[in-house]
Amino acid sequence: MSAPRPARVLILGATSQIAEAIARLYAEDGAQLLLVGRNGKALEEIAADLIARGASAAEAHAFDLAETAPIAERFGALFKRFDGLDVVLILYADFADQITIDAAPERISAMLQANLVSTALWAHIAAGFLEQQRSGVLIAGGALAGDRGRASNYIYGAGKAGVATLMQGIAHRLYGSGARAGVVKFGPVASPMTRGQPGCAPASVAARQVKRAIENGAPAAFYVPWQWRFWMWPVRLMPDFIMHRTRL
Amino acid sequence: MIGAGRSGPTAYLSTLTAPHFAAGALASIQLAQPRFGADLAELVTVGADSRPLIARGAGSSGADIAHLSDGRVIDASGLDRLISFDPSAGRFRAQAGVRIDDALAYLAARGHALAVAPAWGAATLAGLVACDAHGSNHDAAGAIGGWVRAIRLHRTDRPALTLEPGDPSLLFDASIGGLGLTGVIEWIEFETIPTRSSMMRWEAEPFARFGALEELMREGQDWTHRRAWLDPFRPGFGRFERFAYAKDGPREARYPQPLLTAPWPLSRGLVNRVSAGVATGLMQRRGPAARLRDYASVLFPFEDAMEHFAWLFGRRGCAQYQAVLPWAGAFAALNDMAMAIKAGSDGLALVGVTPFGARAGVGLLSFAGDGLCVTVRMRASGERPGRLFGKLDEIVAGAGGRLNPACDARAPVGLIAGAYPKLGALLALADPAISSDAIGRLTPS
Repeated sequence: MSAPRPARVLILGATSQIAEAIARLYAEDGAQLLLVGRNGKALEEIAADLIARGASAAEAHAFDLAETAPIAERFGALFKRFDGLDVVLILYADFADQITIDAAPERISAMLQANLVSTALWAHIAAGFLEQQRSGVLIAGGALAGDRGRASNYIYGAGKAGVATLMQGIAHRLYGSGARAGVVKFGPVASPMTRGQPGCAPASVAARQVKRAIENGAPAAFYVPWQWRFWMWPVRLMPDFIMHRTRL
Repeated sequence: MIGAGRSGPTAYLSTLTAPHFAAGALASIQLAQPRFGADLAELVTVGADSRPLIARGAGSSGADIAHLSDGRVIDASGLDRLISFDPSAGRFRAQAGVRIDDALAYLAARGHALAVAPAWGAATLAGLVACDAHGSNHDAAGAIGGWVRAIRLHRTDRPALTLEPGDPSLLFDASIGGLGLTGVIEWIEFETIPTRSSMMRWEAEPFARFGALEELMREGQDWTHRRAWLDPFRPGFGRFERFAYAKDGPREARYPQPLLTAPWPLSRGLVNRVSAGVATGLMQRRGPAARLRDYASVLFPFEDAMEHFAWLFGRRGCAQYQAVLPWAGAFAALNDMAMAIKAGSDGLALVGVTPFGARAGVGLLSFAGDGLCVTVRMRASGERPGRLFGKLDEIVAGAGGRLNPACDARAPVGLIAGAYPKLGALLALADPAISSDAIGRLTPS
């Protein structure tokens, strides 16, 4: 795709592996990027890399996205930086497995705060701006864990299920406005944390699928890697009396 | 899954298994996987943890230089960011874990290249520097160390420092080919070479005696790269290749396109008498060839042949041996080696030969220079590689050659220490808290 002018991209949660891989693809197209995350030094490293790869701008904005206070003002300032936005990606997540949560149940509220509450706040504000602009794509990161509650990760899954419903609603709201919204349900993507785990797609492959989906009009919900669309059928449709006998 | 909220990169994870390329053995190591340069300082100066540490890249060395059985290993492959590229000055600065094929792809699209590329595209830039690696163009370009303009190094005994060539402390020279012992590299700045095209003119020609190979290597000075593959069944036979960047053509990022792929390592690999016989037969039957090829398919022949190349040799991977023979008597010694390889491997070995120019390496422990470089790869199982490599050691020592300390995990202490007079100086400059399994081999006790 050759864009007439560089895309303006905002990434909330820009230090994750998949977010960085997506940012690199946009950088190679000469995009203008705004990177938001907690770790300022890490964002600076990423921004320098994106500039070297061809981004016409890459700015690091370090703050905690889970803070609820001045979201509208902050989003407004980011929105004005390049006179509007073409792509808004919400890709931060807080993951802990069920064993960790059992040991420290107070993690539950922090996880839901990051994975659902703050995502909803940012997505809602972003939707308003894009609706007014009458263009742009808003994508939030979901996960396979959100498709069906499972013993191994139901707190994480609950947050991600919420994100899916949230984005479904926002896509509905934006219909006809010119702007679009959707949720990308991530399957296993290779990262330092999934090292040695079989079946992980490389982050660069996953990133290309996300970007292509955005360019092709952003369906309200899509899987990355795409094969999971089919592999999740049986998981979603499996009757409880079978599901409960598995350990997934 | 995405996991930005996980705290991990600055902590040493509990024991993880990482595949060791060479022996194929699964060694358990304490691994840290930083993703950002900013995390490196913290990892290097973990005060309470007094165990030694070593940095690791892609793990593509055949030796144990990035292994530390009883210590901490910093896997730097997550530090894969570019920092800057100035095309007019030809200066390219990038983090330690950037893969060589990624760096070349980036530069190729901009009409530049790394002056030296080893045969492994998956290796990292820091690994390239820490082994002072060479390519098949040593004649024209020397080893990579001569193209390094700056290094950012983290040490446990002082703050991070930026080193440049000519550094009076000799720490720069020690870090080039220093096997990672002088500190943990965060980033490197290279001088790159301009290229008019990302395509390469490539020619191949069979030869039927080593005298013919000697002549082929001498002639045609406008070819920057030269290498040959020996027929392991018939000493004296093989196929010679020469290539160079084309004078004009497209400038495109390219990657190897593996012919074969396997979803997991096949236990005995694909190398056996039948397949090796067929492959060498085909190699010999093909006459001279000449065409334009993209740089990636020429520079990375192994990855162009098979994804996870070591799997070709089975689950335990391939064992490597690399030595340089001084020019006087090089081809006689090569003949002896070829006979030994035929007897010691039943022909199931991959033998590559490349000429080295006179340019000596920058590093204290630099391998490449002045002679004929011979590389042997064979299945890493049982006693056979060790026995064969021991025989090759005798031939190399008899010819006055030396082994590459970064290449096999077996090289005997005497052969390394005797051939590298500056080894003591390197060890004196090594970081007191950095060690590797290789150091036992390198230090004469």
